[in-house]
Amino acid sequence: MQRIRPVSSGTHPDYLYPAYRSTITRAPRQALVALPQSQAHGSVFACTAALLRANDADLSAQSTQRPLGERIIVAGRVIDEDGAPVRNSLIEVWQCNAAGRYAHRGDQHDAPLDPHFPGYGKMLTDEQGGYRFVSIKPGAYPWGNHSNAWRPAHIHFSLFGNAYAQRLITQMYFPGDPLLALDPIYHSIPEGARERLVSAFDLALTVEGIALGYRFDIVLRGRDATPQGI
Amino acid sequence: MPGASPSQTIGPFFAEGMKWAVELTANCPFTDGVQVTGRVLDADSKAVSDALLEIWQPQARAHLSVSAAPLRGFQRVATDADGRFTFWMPRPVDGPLHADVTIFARGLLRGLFTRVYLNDDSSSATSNIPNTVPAERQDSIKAKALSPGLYQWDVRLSGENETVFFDI
Repeated sequence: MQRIRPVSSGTHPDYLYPAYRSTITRAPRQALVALPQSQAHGSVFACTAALLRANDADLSAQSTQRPLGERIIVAGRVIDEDGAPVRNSLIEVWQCNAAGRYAHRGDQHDAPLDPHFPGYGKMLTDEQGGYRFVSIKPGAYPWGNHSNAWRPAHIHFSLFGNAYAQRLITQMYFPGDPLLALDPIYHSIPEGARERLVSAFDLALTVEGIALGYRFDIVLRGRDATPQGI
Repeated sequence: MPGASPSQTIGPFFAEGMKWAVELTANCPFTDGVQVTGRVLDADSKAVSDALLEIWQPQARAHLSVSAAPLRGFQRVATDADGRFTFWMPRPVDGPLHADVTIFARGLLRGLFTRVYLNDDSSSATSNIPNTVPAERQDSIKAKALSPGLYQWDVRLSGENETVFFDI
């Protein structure tokens, strides 16, 4: 079975990053244990198109009326570290509304809910690894991590890849956001890698009179060049 | 070579976006196998009430009840206010009985990957636990029999008796 290569060092945050307070009681303290053989390298949950809803890729069209906020288009490619497209793979996205409030009972931020913005969707990548969805630009919101703490605007991404070992949950940020410089979750990523999560404004994706476009490419772990056991 | 995208936390507000698969899991008609129930706990033994567990058992896919289910060997469950979760381990047609489990939560900047075996099952066979797992930590990935068909397995993210997490 072909193995998925370990990701290059300097890519992911460490589990323990005390400036993000929730890591202190939740980050494992023991080193990860090697797993010589795992089905995670050769199989993955493969979502089928039958499981997608009609407007799963248009978060601005999931209700009887349009949600409030600045309409955006987010598109890009999912590739692996060797540049190969990650085809026909599931992407899930979720986010807060334009006012910075999630449609979630646990979100107590004093900002209005938008009854026309559930704030989530999903899609499959195409034969080139491409994906595209329509949404509303999410707002910034305060959180209790430290004094006067605000999360930069972001969209959550969940990716399955083509093997379970490529599974990734991450966040997409927006270019030029002044809150990025202050955000411990963003800064938990090693320097040099964190900018990969900042999308780029793209006039070519922007639809005249309709919506601004942002490009966000995602890179998953690559495969070993030679099959194991040879 | 393009640089890999870094991981970020799932955060506390994933429930709506993740629920489609949680609901399909809850409605899945398993008929043969065992149930595993337990709690996700932090370093202070407090309940982790906002964790998401994904269970992957591709070797069980050939089983009728699993192959007929829409998620085909995949399950997704969220912990409740008490940190509790419950999932099924359908019996594979052949091979050892174990399940791969991935855990996401607020405060986890990366997902955690573990595996669960049954402590009294000869096919699961604790002898199948990878020899990379130190002997004194093997109990952390063995679910204990509570009653016929029901097993208990707590996941300790951090601290004393920390669950074994794998580097895949």
